[in-house]
Amino acid sequence: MDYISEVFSNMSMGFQLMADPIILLYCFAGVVLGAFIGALPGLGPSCGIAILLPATYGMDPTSGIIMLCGIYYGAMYGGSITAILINVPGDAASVCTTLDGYPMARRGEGGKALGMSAFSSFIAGTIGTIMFMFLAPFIAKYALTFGASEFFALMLLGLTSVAGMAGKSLSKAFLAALMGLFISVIGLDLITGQQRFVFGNVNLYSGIDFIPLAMGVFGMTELMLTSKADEIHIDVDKATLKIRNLFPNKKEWKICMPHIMSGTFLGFGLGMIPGNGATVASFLAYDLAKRTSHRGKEFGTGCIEGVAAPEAANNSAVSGALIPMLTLGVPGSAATAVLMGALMMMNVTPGPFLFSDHPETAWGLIASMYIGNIIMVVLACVCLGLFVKILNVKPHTLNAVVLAFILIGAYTLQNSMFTVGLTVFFSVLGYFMKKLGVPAAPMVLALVLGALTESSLRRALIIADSNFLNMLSRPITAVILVLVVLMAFSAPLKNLFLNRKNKNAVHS
Amino acid sequence: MKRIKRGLLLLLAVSMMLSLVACGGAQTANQSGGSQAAEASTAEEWVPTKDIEFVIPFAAGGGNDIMVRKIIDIIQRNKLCPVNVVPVSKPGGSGVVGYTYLSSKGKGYEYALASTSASFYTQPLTGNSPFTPDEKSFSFVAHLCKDPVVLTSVASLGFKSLDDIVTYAKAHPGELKYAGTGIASDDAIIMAMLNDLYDINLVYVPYDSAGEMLTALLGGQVELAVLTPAESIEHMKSGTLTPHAASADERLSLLPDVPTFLELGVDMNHQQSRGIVMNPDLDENVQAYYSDLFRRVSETEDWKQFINSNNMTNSFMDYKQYAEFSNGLKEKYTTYLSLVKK
Repeated sequence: MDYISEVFSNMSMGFQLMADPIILLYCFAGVVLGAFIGALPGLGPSCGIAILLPATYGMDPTSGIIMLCGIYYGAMYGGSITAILINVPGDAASVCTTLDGYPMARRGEGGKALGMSAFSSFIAGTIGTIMFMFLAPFIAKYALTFGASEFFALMLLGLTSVAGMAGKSLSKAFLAALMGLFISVIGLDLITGQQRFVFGNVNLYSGIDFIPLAMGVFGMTELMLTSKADEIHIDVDKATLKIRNLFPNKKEWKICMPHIMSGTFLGFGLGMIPGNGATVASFLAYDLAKRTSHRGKEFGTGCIEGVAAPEAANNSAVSGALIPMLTLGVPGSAATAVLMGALMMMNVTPGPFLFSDHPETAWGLIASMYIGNIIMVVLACVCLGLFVKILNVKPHTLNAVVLAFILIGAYTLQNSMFTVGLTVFFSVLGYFMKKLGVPAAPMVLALVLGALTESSLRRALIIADSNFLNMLSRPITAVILVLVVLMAFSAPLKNLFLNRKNKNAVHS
Repeated sequence: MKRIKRGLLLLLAVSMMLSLVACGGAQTANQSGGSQAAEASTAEEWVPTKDIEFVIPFAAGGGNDIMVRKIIDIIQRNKLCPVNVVPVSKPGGSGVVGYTYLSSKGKGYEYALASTSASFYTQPLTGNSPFTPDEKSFSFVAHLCKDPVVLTSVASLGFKSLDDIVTYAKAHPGELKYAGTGIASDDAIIMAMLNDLYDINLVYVPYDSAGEMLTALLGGQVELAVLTPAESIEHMKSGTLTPHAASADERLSLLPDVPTFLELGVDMNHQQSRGIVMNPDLDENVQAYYSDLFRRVSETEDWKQFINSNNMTNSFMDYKQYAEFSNGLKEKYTTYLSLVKK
């Protein structure tokens, strides 16, 4: 009880800080800039924070960190705007949002998809913050129980969600996943430094980033398809643009709520794990929604819960990822690493003593997470109508603008034409894949998880003295691996079981 | 319809501007060329007449990126240079992409700089780059600072000193795991040196980032690692990690009780060195100009504060001292890397 009242008194201190109009303004500026940056293809949260970092020089640490965090969750939401409207995921975590969000937009329900994405982000962000506030000190250590072998098992679990993205043909999905895994081995070997499929090209040393692939096979391929067939053009008439129609209705809320909740908890738990927690969380949340929804078979054709679940997961992962960074000084993702660097520059060292040494910064930050989430949802509602109008633009105009965005985004990744060429190459590959009915999402998923799977397995083996059994003897690893087997074989087993039952029914 | 088009155009223009700012605008550099060759040869004291590109070979938000942006901030704020210094971010291939970009400007090019890090030496020496870390490929204009590190163990193991670790490692070869970031990194090299100096067998576990490495260490999956002083003091205070010896020239102000390896009688003070390099075959006037520019940077209060808050040590060297120092460092890296491979 003492602990809870302490949290509340600290919290009121945090909110008092936020009552300062200047700090509120910084928070607002951060969220707006973040949403804008996140909406640009290729620029994700970590890049956004890094670009705007110099703007915080000379600010006091509290306002500085509040603004940078605003950019962080603003960018997480911004990524879903382009994912839904033009099929270009801004970061790894919003790949899943394109799967059902874009078909919805093509149906003229872009506003609903965006609205649901904003509300599920808001709900997940708020619940994530509440959990952060009360649980952070107790569960920080949980992040540490995740070693290389647990991480490997988790990545495998992420890879099983390939099956959930399969669409019509499972074998074609596996083909795409294997292509993605192959792309993930290109570059310098992570453990020995050996060159693999590099052919002396220095640009390939650090491997192929998933962003050129995602922008190519999702965004640019779509441009090619839509520019060929003008009749796909959607007419968004005045009636559908009415605010009331832009928001999800009661029925849709009822469908989405359970998926938002499961996405939130999944995202929070996995976000805490150093590595790529948010991405895996969004993939698994999508997979889980598909498996548990009553219309799971229709996923990929524009189901609103397919937008809600991954969006909730990736937003609550933000609060989760802040826990190990703030309480242990261990950054879990690229974005939190940049945030941590920023804090150190302001002479605030994240770690076990942050909450006692700099209570105003720590609690001000938590208060800003609540307020930032509110700013985000208000902003989204105000701008929704504007965003949706993008769909009203004639395809040839829109396509040209989107193409420019994508190519600029590709250039900014490494400031080189190499990534631009790579994006164009992947768009051609994506075009043929689309024509042959090979889904692109498993390829992107495999590229994101492939390198992490490989390096964590090899790391785990070094630690376990090259003995698989030593690895399996770790309880969390074993449990996750059992889950992997269940996930991978649940569908065929279920079919087998059902078939037998049906046969019996026929016979009797 | 018209309004939407205008809005989209505006959005496009703003975003183009933003992305140009983000990547530092590589274009600006070539605007006013032409006259500089003539000026450089006639003028006694060389002065830049067009914008200078400062290449950052590492990802935005990393240590190198933050340092270069701070240096540029100091130069502009104190008006140390008559022209603009523009950051040009060229990440990829552990720095190789950025250094290759610098080389592409051509020998004797006077308007491009890059900052160094460990991979400036380790990548070419492991055969992963088209350049060599010496005067054949670069001019060394100024050395700025070093990053000292501290050998740290998981506290629950109860090691009280470096000797404890060595004794245990001798009795249990291959059992102690040592975490580090990267493959041919300073972390790996320091471990190879320890193995060599004490004739022990620590096993190296490479991680992708410092965050993952710290997680493994705090979670007890590995036993040893070298950390920055700031990282180790936080965890020393909370009783999870024990610092044992500093790889530094002298004791660290943050950890005054931790001896250096040198004090313990071990010939080791390996640290990451950060300096500024340019293209080779530069006129001596030009090298002297840049050397002096960075000397003035290193004397500002802003820089000293930056060095302190990042737990680095200031060690300015001019272009002559730096070239000599860098050759020594290259020798060291060559020897150590052969140990890493063993």
